[in-house]
Amino acid sequence: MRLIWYEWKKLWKNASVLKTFLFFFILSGIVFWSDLGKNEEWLSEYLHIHSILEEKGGDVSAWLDEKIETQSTADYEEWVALEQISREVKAIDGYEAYRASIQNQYEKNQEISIFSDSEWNQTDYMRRIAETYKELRITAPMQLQPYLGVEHLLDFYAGDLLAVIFLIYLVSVVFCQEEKTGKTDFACAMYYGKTRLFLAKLFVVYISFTAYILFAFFLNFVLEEAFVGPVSFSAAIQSVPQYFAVPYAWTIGKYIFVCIVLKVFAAAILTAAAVVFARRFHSVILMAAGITGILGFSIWAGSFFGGGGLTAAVRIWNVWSFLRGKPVIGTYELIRFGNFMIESVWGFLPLLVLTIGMIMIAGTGSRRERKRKIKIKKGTNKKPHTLFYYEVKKMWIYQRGIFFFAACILLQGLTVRQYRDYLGTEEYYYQQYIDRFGDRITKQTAADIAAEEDYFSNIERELMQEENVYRADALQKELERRMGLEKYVNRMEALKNDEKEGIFLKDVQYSILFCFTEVSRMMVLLLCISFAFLIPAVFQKEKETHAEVLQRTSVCGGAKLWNAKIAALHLYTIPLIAVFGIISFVRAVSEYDLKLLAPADCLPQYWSSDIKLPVIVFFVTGIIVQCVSASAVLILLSAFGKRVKNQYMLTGMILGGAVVPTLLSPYLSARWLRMIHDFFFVFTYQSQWMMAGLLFIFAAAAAITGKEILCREKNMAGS
Amino acid sequence: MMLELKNLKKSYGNKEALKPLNLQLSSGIYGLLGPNGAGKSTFMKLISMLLEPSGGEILFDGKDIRVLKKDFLKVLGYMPQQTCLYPEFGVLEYLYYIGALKGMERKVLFGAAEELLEKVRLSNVKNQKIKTLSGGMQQRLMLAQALLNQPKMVILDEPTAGLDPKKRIEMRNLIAEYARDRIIIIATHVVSDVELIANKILMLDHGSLVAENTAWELTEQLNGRVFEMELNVPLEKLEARYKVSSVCHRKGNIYAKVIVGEEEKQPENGKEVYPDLEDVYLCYFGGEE
Repeated sequence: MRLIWYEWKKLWKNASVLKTFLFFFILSGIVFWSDLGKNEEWLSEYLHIHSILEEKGGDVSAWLDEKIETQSTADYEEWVALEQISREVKAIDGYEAYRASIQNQYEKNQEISIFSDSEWNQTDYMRRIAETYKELRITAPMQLQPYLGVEHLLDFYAGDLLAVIFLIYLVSVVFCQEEKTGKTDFACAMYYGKTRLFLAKLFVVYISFTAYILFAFFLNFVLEEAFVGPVSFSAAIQSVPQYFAVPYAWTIGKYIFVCIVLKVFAAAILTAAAVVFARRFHSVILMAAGITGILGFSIWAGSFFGGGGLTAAVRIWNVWSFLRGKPVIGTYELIRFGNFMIESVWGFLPLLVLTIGMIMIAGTGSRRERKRKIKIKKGTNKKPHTLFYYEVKKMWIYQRGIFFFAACILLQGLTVRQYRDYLGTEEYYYQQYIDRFGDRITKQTAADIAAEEDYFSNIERELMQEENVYRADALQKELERRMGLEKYVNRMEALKNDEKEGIFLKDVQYSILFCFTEVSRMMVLLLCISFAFLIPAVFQKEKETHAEVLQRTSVCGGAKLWNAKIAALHLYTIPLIAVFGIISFVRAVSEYDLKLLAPADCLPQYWSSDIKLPVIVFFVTGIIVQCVSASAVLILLSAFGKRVKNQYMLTGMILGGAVVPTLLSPYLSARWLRMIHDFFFVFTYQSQWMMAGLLFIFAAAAAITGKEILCREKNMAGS
Repeated sequence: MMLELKNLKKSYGNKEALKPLNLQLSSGIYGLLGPNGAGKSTFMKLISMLLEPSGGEILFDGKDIRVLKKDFLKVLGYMPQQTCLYPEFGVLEYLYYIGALKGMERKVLFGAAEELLEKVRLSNVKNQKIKTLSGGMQQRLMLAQALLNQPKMVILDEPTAGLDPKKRIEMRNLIAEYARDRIIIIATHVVSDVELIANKILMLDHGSLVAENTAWELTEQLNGRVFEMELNVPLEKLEARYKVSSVCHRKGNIYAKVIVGEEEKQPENGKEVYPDLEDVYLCYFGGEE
């Protein structure tokens, strides 16, 4: 117990840990609040209708149906609110029907010969599901309440992702950092310095991680209550839309409690895995990669695998499912292994065994074997090089920058390869018209359009008279092409009205180059992750080896060394951005016949910008601006990296402040989440304040550079 | 060549780490002695420009080092107490890196690095990675980096820490060899390291310079006050009366070396011995905790 207490004090007396905890805690709250904020527009209408329904009491579905029928399409807020409430009412009114449908389905299947064979396990499978829902006795009231906040609270997964990043930070502080400083080896010479100390550290990390999860959940709960208002947690969980399939007679409160218990269990699995990686690989980067891999596989398996059997086990019995709760207890699932069937909740047993196994592996691998591979290169005649050469070598070879670079290129290449343009009906037919009528406005264009419009008028007339269903359907499909023609005509008029060059561009073909896509997001993510791990490493190494002292007493240890380090980091960043750009460009050019010399303002996103540069020039210029933006950020972060005492803090800050918002940006509507993306992927920035921010960062970077060059005395002074 | 400290002082808030200090150092080796917290590190950091003084100035050949800045750094060699090494670097490569940091020309660096490695007996491991070297080898590499730019002003902080006796003697001799036309300041707790080679001993206590003299003159001050006697009473009793410099076993008996006060008489069974620098150190700092 004493060891646990001292380990706990050691961890939480570290100001960086507390700051990082608060940072993630507040960030989680902000993201959750932003998620809730998506509904702000229609929230008052939603709550108003709920209060009316509460006053009315009894059967409210008839009133609601009437309201929906008479509702004006112009009142968007009311329409969305009614849709949401309609879901809530259906969850309650349709619950018994849902259970009956399971029984009906089972009974119907019994009439089919292959299902009626009681020996076949599919029959047993269906029987058990039908029986479970039949025997379910819900004692808590099915109550209509504004469940919007509860749904958001239970669906909020971004908080879990942030928690995992915080775990990586905790493990790096408690295990990796201590091993690096030799404290682990030192402790091994003590009586309780091996197993007991390891268990104490593990316990402290686990408790801290669990505490974070609980605090963050509680904060979100408070925010949800403040935003939507309180609901009764003694109502049945089945009253909440999306949760009507829960196979337990639980109240909402009990369901939330069990969810938290599952989260705490998932926290144990994740902690054990992170500690195994930390103790086996002795590297923060590899530990973070391992945890990301486990989490990524769990999320992927949850959406990729369907059906029963082993695939169901992989789908449900993973750490992400337990962290979310719903995949495990949200519905009744049976995992089949041949004729043997087991309920999905029992998945905690194999995972518990796995967790204990991981803890044992981590515990036994306590001491790092320091293998000294002495390689003597005979006949080498090395010559001295410049400072820049050594800084590049340190970063690329010793800090594993080359592996990072290769991994980034590989990941971006895979993302670009996987990327598929979304072609809506309108765009599809629009592109067909460009192929048919040409991509330039000519004298013939108007005549072609007129002929096509006549053709559609005839089709319309024919459709009105057609009685054959199949023929009418074919005509209807033919009419869909009209959307494409309309876009073509609109574009032509816009080109003429705005006095632009008369060229039609197939907009979607340029999206990989200029739009907010998974390719652009991956580019920004990889860039930020590179910054998060490389910048602190470059500057922290000097602190760890105490070489900083020597540098400060050397002629070139100030501005010149700083410049060499910055140049080395640029040698990583600029080629990375350039290669990312080249990969996207090659993919776009090889797949489509792009009009690279067309003015950029012919693309819809730059229509009002009046950028007359050819697309190719605009793209290259954009890449250069991206390099400049990245360079400015690089200098700023390097200045932090040089001053900050704890490298993990800076890594955590970059991951939490840049990587997480970019990851979440496509799923949450909060505009600010795209800020980091738009900053690095300059083709998408849209607001004035973004420009102001950009200028501020440039100015700060310039000031830092200037200070490093001019104020040498400052660098020399103070220890 | 002269390094002159004029009213040099350094305070951290209200605490005076170094009280106003006036000192003139010319070519030679200076042993800096003092207990922990005496101000040795502050003294060295001020000279190596790692700290800004709170007052006073440091003149090198009559010019303020803060005005000379880079010109002073060019002639400075510093060996900190910690080994500031990159484990992944090769030995020779590390010296080249330090040479680049010191702004040395490549041709000069090429020759100087090889020569120094020869002197510190590391040329046989010059292509090995630093992480494969023993503690003593790493310490010698640290000395090599300090001497790489042929500095006129050398500051060595605990240069012999972690060395076996043979290597310690070698290191001492090497430093002595390099002392010609150089100012070398050695801060150490191992008094014997500086006793033989230092031209002058500087003793610091609570931020003040309490003694500045040659080793011989310092020991001479104690002449007639150091005695060796057989220990036939409990050590505590002896310590209560005298400063006990050392206790040793010889031919089945235990002997204690004690320092008596200036006015005190010779102990009854005591035999006068010639004092060494350790006795001087104990005489100055023996009463401190």
